[in-house]
Amino acid sequence: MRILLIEDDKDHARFILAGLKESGHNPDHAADGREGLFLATEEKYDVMIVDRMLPKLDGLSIIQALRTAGNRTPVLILSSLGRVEERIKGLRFGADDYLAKPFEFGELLARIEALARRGNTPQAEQTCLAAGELELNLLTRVVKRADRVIDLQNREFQLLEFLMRRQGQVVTRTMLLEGVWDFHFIPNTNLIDAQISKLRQKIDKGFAYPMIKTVKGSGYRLSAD
Amino acid sequence: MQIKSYLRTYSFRSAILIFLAFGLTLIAVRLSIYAQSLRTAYGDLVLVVTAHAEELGENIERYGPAYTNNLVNAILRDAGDPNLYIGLRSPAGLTGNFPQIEKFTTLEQGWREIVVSNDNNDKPLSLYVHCSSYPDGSRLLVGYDMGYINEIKQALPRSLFENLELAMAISIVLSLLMIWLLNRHVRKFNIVFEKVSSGQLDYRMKARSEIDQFDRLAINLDGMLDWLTTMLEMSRELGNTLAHDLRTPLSRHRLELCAIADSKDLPITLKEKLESSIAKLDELVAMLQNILTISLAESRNTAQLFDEINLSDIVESITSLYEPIAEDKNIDLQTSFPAEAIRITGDRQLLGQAIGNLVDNAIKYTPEGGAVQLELRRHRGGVALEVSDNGPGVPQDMLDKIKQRFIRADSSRHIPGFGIGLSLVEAVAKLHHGSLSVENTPTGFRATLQFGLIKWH
Repeated sequence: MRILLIEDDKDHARFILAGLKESGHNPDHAADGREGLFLATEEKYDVMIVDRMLPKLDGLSIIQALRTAGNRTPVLILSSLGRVEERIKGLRFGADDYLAKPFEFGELLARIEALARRGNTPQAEQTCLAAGELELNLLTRVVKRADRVIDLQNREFQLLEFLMRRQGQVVTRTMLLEGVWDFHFIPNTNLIDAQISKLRQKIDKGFAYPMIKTVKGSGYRLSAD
Repeated sequence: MQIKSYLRTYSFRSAILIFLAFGLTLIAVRLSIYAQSLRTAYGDLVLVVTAHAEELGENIERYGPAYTNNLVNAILRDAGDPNLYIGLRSPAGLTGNFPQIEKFTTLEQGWREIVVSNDNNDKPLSLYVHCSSYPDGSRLLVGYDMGYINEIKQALPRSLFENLELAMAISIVLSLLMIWLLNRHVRKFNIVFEKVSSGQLDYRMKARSEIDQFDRLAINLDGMLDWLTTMLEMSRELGNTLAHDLRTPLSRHRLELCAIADSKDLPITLKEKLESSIAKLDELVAMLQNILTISLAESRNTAQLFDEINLSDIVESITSLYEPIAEDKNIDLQTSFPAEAIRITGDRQLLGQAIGNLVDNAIKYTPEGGAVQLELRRHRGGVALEVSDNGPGVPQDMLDKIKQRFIRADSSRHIPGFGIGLSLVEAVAKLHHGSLSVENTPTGFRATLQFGLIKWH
């Protein structure tokens, strides 16, 4: 995956670039806003990571310029400006996701991978989601694993739907909080762990193998193997 | 009570002032008219009396008593004035219509007021008399009835305070008019104050002219608001910069720790220590974030980002989020909602965080097997959300303090996070024109959030 990182802080840039390479990606780096906008316009990227406070040209202006020019590449803002209102501002300027510093590298990786996938495969209107022997019907709201009907509460159903739509991908705790509960703050990360453990009781307990796996340092992944 | 408070109003006081000014002017004008008419009346009287006295005096000296006696009768007849009284005592005898003249023929020369009883009338006469004597022994008395002057004098006390009730009525009308004019000005100021204190910091008086003190006041108010807004923006900017400046090094620090923790050849004990160190760093960041969120909620500018939101849905989301951890502690998390969704104007993230904090505290302090109850209901035209637990409650003397920032009830010191939590809840409540109240109940502790069903425009 080709990734553009626009970040002026050397330490952050070094760490992120190393992490991305280690995860098998191909990152480019720009240390100021103008260089960043130049690269973003000249090259083709799958996803971009943009800091907000940058020398020469700030992050929001870069995004605005790209969107005005018709560039639809998914953008994640990575910024120290972490307040709710700053997040809203970032999304209004055309960003697709917002992550506040300090962050977990796993969180960043999961989010950019999710963004890149969303950009590639537009979600078709599905009525039924499937992952191996697990089936989820969005119309009848019936969930089955190996043909056994599983009784889920409303939020558990939404949680499972969120995971199944991203099967094989890492989904972080904050992504779940945002996607299922529409909360953009972190009340207590144990909350999501407790939610997942309750869901596991229903989805995985008594079956051949666990489908919801914990990814250390990042979050969870639902997969059919 | 209402009358008492009316007596203290500005309009009543100004009515009294106007009335006093008006009434005193009226009385002064009347006194001056009175003095004027009295002077004129005396003047007229003196003129008439002097004219007759001089004419008669000349004749007495020139033609002698006999002629003058006839002249007196002729004058009285020709003048035909019933108020004129003339008496002459001459060597030729007594003439004239002066009543009881014998009594007064010894009077000294000059002017005086006398009272005599009239022969024809039972009412005593009051006369203003000029008395003169002549070398031949004649004495002349010319008098004029003072009835008119007395009437003026008697009328004074009555007329002085006449129509004061009319003055009162006019004063009230005038004062109301004045107040109305004043209120028209003051109302504009009040609108600006209300708008600004409800978060519309860009609302201004926009005075164009500089004619009177009201215009100057408006210009000064605008200037002050401009200045305050600038200061506010500067301090917000400062907060952002500070947060940024702290976050970047914290973030770097965290990255480094993570990089070390990831290295393969690290002993497991060191790795665990590093991880707990990272967790502490995260706590620090969360605290910083909470302080920033409180300052965000306390700056009323945030209200500009408000949407119409479903409060019932936020409460439901929070309870569904906390349900598994409540279950782990074997706590019964109960909710009750009104049938229809409750919508208010506000911010989902801030409200979610506030309600989350209340539920978080409630679950923390409730012992295993207890119950936490959330009740959302309409209350006095607004909404109330009650979160009750059956934990140990808060010591009575700490109740007022626990909403303050960084204060933590002593008995709960071992559980982290109480300190900033409630002050955040209160800041969010205030931002939504609401309030937070806390109390101990017979079975535990209860926090109540109250909101008006505000609409922001």
